[in-house]
Amino acid sequence: MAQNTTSPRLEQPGLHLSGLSRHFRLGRETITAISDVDLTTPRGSFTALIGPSGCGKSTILRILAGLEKPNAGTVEVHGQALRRGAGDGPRLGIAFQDAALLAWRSVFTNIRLPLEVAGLPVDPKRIGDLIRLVGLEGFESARPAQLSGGMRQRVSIARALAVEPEFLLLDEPFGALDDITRQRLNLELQRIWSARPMTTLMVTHGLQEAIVLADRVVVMSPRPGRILASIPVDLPRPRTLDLLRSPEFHALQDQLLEIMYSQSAVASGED
Amino acid sequence: MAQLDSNSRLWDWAFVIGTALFVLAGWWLVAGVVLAGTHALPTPDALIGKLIEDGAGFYARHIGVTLWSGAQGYFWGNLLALGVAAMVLLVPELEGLATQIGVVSKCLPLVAIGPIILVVAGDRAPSIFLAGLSVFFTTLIGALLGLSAAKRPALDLVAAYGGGRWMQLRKVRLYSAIPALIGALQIAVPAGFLGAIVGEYLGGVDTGVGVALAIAQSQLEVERAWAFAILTGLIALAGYGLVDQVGRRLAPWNPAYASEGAS
Repeated sequence: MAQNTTSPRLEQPGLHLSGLSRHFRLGRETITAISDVDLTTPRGSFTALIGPSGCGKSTILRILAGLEKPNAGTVEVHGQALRRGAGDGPRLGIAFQDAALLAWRSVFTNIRLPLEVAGLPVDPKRIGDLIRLVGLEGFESARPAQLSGGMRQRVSIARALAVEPEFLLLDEPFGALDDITRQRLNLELQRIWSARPMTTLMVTHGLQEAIVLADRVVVMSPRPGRILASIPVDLPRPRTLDLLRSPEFHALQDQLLEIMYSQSAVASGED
Repeated sequence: MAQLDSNSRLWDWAFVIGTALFVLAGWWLVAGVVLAGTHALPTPDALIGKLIEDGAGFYARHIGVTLWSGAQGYFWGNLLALGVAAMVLLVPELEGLATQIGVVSKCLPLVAIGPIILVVAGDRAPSIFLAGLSVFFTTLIGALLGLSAAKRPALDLVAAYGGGRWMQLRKVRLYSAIPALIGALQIAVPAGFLGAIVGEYLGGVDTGVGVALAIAQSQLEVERAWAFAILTGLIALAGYGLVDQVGRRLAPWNPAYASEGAS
């Protein structure tokens, strides 16, 4: 929690995963989800974790969320061992692909949920601010069933920010949306994040959104998941849709595609 | 939107009335032509004639008594089922046992248990007991089903913010249980009513639908038997609808109502 003003924010430790492995038993077989994953990111940086489905990227996220325990390896967030829940560690905010809104709650009370669970004080004005931040003014008392898919994900993002997290986990937050809505929400997410950078890990299989949002794109191999490459994205912010037509963007995209394709070729060659 | 709503409502009513007329016409045809002279099924006009002849008071007296027994059984049976479900909630290991109790309760032959209750407690006790026994299983299974209805991501969300089992229960699982529970409580209404009627068949009382039906049967009062059958059917339907309305008030978010209102 030390607010060390002398060293720049980015040089403080953010996420630090070391030798992380996780396997599941499926009947007689043991399935290795991730194997010996090392990853270090600076505090306050946005990391996109990308890879084919089943590569274990969601497993990493679930371990970081305290929902699963690794079979081996350690996890540190902001220099502290991971602690489940609100405890003493850095505050976590999380959003899933399935918005996971509670059907019986309004937009307002859904956003309030993490505060209730973590036993933090509820400031209605701040929740109102969050609702404005994600552009849902006027929908405070609407129920999830009355919202579109995009609006539900906006609620989900606002809910992730409710605890004023220092550490944000996003599991394909816009994965179930159409392209146009997803692009718009990605730009909005960038705006929200840039105003208040948090150590962020986003799991996705969209190259484009990874490049638009992240400071660093980490590419994972098909199962068993290992980290193939960690590529910095040195594109100026705020990144706009014009960026998608720039040569820098395409160069980066090609580089990432090459890493991913070379690996899937190897994988299918092995089969 | 409003235009569309009132239009579709008009169609709903047209459909209901059309169906009713169709059923009535079919009934008349079967009773008056196909089964004419057999006394198996009275024509609608004969049935209404019997209703008027017996008088509303006659039916109200018998049905009222049975309704009261059924309501008491409904209350106790549901209370017990919810109590068992609550125990499963506190000690999940008990779920297998609870399901077994439910299944056994469903398999108890009512006509064997009833007389025992009659001997032990007498009067309305068999009727209340059988009504309670009839609702116990549906409500218990509905409640157990409901308690496992919570969606994984919602539970994960609570866990990620540091909530334990108790918090998951309070914030997610109890609410997730409501739709299945309301459905079960609805189905339990006709089940409980029927249980109360069967209980009266066992004797020991001189009023109630079961008693009146037994007498009508022995006197070959076919019209009266049918009048009771149709009235009790309508009352069970009304009870089912009443629980539905209560459910809509208490849990308007229930996905079971999503097809209406949304869009």
